[in-house]
Amino acid sequence: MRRNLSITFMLLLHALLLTTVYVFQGMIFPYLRLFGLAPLLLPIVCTGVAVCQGRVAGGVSGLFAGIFCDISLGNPTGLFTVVLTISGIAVGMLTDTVLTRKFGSFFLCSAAVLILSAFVQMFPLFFFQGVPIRLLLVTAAQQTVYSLVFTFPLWFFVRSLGIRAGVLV
Amino acid sequence: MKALLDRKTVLIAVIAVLVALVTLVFVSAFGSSGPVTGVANAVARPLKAWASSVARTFEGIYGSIYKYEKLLEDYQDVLKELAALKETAGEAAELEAEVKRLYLLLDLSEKNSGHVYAPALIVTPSSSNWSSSFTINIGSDNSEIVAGNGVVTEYGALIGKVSDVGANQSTVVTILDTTFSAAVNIGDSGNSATAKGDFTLMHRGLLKLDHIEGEYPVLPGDTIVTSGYGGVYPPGLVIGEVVEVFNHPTGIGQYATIRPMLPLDTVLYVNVITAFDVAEQ
Repeated sequence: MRRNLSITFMLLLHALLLTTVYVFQGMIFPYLRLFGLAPLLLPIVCTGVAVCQGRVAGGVSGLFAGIFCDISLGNPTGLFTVVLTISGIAVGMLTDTVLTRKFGSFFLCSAAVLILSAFVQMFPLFFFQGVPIRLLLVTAAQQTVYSLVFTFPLWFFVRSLGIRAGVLV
Repeated sequence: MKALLDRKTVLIAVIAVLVALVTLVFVSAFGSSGPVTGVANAVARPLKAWASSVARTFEGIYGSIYKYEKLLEDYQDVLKELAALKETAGEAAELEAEVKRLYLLLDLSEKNSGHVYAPALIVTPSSSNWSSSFTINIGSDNSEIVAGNGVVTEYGALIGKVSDVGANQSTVVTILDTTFSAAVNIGDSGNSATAKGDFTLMHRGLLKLDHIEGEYPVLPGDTIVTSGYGGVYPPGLVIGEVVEVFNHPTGIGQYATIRPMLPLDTVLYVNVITAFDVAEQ
């Protein structure tokens, strides 16, 4: 009984974190663009959960982060649902085996997932609309760097969840 | 590896793929975003409304703090302009005539009599850095809108088109988006062209005027209106005005940049054109 309550509480905390980050990514930052750019925060959260808690938690958070991401980007094709779920599982596998559950791993994995996200977003523009690759790469780099700034505050939250889940000490 | 790919992990991946497939099938077959996105949108709707109002409040505070100096400069400029306007009060009649000429040129009141509008409120702009779109608060349950409908501001200027229709909200790609394209007329010169979104210009709040055909030169300030060719948009909808004219790098022909009539991030209320007469071409 007590264990069930604990699991429910943890799920609620994860849902609260994802919803809060979704509100910031989808509803606050579009009004507060910096040099015309808005950051991608949901991929960072799913990466953080995967780093701190492993592949299962990473995959589940990736699934919901992906759905939220598709909605906030106004592109309901389910692309991010797949990409972030797979990313969450992959990052979780890496931290279950070779990577440490530290900020350095989180930062590197976040960078990798953000770069992947940028490539996913630039793909149709490059292949179907003929936008020059140089322009796309500049935007991808700007988006990735700007988003990476938010790894610092988000690490505090995902690490706290990892400690509560009993994975981190 | 086998231990890593346990049942839970595989199950999660399969669920993600299924969700994506269902959404993709719904988008492709029915033009709607599917049950998963629909449910997520329905859950997120009150959040969005709340966050939208909070964001606008926050934006106001943000603007007050960080844009104070810019506002002060603008205020000084406005004072100078006001003084200049007072000096040229005699030109008011001329300006009035100019406004009337533009109004007649657009001929909105008569041409729009055959339009059927569905009023809507912009809920949130997209957070994407790769496209330009926003969400409006009407969908298939509470209006007649379908994907492809044109969307205009309160003043009748074209602002975008509906790209995806959900149950109670829809996505609109703006005229700045790279997927936007419309056949247009340039002012009253009789020149025709294509107005389309451009990735580089999108970040500057501009769009591109290309494939210009006609006898007269295109000049900054020329008004760009939809021609109605193709039947996607009704004729006579204002898109914006020409900012700069350039020669193509190839040396053949010209292209120009267009500034929308209103900065798109300042628009709050829009009208979706759900039907229109195509008699006037």
